[in-house]
Amino acid sequence: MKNLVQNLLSRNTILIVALLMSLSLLGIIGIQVYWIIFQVELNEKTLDNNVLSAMRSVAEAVEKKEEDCAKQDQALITKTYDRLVEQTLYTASAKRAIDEKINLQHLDNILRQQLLEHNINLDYNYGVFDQNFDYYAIVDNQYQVKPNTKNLVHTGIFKKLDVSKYQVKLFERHADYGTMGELRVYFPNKFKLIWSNVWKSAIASGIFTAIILFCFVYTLVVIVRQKKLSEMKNDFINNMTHEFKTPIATISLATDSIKSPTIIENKDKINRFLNIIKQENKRMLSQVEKVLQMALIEKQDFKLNLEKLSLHDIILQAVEYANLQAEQKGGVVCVDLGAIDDTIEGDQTHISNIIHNLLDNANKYSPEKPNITVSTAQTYQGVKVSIKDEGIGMTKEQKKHIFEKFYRAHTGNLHDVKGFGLGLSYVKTMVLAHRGDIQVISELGKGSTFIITFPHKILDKNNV
Amino acid sequence: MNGNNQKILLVEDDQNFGDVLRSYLEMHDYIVTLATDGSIGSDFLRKSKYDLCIFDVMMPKKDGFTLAKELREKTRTHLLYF
Ligand SMILES: Nc1ncnc2c1ncn2[C@@H]1O[C@H](COP(=O)(O)OP(=O)(O)OP(=O)(O)O)[C@@H](O)[C@H]1O
Ligand SMILES: [Mg+2]
Repeated sequence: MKNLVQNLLSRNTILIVALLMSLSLLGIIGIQVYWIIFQVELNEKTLDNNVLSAMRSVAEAVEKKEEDCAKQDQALITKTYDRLVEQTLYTASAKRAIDEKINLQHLDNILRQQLLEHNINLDYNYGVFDQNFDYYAIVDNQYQVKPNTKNLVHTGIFKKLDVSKYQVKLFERHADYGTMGELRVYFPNKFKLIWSNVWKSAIASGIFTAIILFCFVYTLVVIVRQKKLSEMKNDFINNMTHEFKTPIATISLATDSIKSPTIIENKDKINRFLNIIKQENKRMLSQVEKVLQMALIEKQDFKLNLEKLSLHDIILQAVEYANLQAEQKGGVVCVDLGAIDDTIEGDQTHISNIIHNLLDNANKYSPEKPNITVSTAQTYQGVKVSIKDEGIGMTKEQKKHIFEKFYRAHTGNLHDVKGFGLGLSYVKTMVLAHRGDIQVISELGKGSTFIITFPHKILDKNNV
Repeated sequence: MNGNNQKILLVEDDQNFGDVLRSYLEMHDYIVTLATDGSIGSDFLRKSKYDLCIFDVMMPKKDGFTLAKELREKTRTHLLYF
């Protein structure tokens, strides 16, 4: 019970930590995004202000120049001051179309100068829009041809200028004469400038965040997996101790019984008890073997004691034992040893354990009379051993997991088939260590076949 | 320890342990009935009365707790888990 509480507690702790971590990560990402956006907006605002102020200066200069010119003309024509004449001349000059009022070179120079003065070192396009005739009179230091129709659909640079937010009125004081214009500027690389001092830190923080995120997820996965494994191991130990208790209790009770005066006279009974003690002893031995196997899979860097073996001899020995077990349930183990050359290189103990484990499973997972066939055959890779049963079989999903440590497909509340889910993971580890191969064919309800192939010789002896 | 021919129902799936335990109890003058799994055990329970029942908890078909629950609903036998 205490264990359970502890488990719950630590599971919750992990959950809370993960949650906190996720939240703070989200927070950090949010703050970073906020700062980047803030910086970009600030950049844009500064640029906007500078550009517009430069353009206003340009407009002023252009207007002033026009005024000066008009005054000069006036001075040339009339030497005397005459209000009426002045008025007429002003009107005449104001009525001129916008392209006549602007000196191309002057506009170009002043615009460049003003932009530089305002620290705007960017490529740009500009245009002067004639609101009277509804067209761009000047674009990039060139007069444009006046189109015959109005309301043309603008494309290309015209369209860009149309939607640019840098627009300043020209000759607003001539509005009455309908000869007003608009200076428009467009920066093709504006985006670059706005992001110029931001993108590096944006990418850097993006990369760092990604790394943190990856590490976080990785750690979480490892923790969860580790936790699961440790729970399984706990289960295993609990199971194991229970399994050990039974033979120990049996042996202890049997020896007590033998000691009692009523039985010590009875040879038959003593023999029966001795037999039981022997059996239970064997059982404990095989359980110890299991624990050792588990330790072996855990360690991974075991040493194989390689020697030349006759696979058929090992199989026959294992079958003899398995037959005893199968007979108890009314079944039988058949053998069909067809391999011509059955010599393999391997570790006697482990090869024998492999066959024992597979036969044990075939027997355990046949609820009715076990009908088991062991056959061998020669293949290109070496010797193939098939162990076939007609038991309960497995589903595809179960088949995927059976080689995992502690995995047991056929569990339930009823402990009808005992086991730890270690047999097959041991088998697989050992088969692979012998450079062999293992495969399963199985159908639920029909039975299973385990096929292992051992090479005659282990060629690369690294890590063996 | 002496049983005075009291009746015991022993439900235990482990053959050897069941065997040994039965002999041991019989040695002490109890009358022991051995059932090898839970459902056989509950059959016996239905048929006759026992002074003591001993159940293994982990058993095929019907585990010890279920059996004990069944029993408690019917009678007031002494229960012993192990
Ligand atoms: N011949 C088979 N037929 C059907 N299912 C099988 C067979 N062999 C193995 N399995 C399934 O694969 C699971 C894993 O088998 P494995 O041998 O690793 O463990 P186990 O037999 O449960 O325990 P143990 O560690 O005592 O061998 C089994 O629990 C069983 O569900
Ligand atoms: Mg097994």
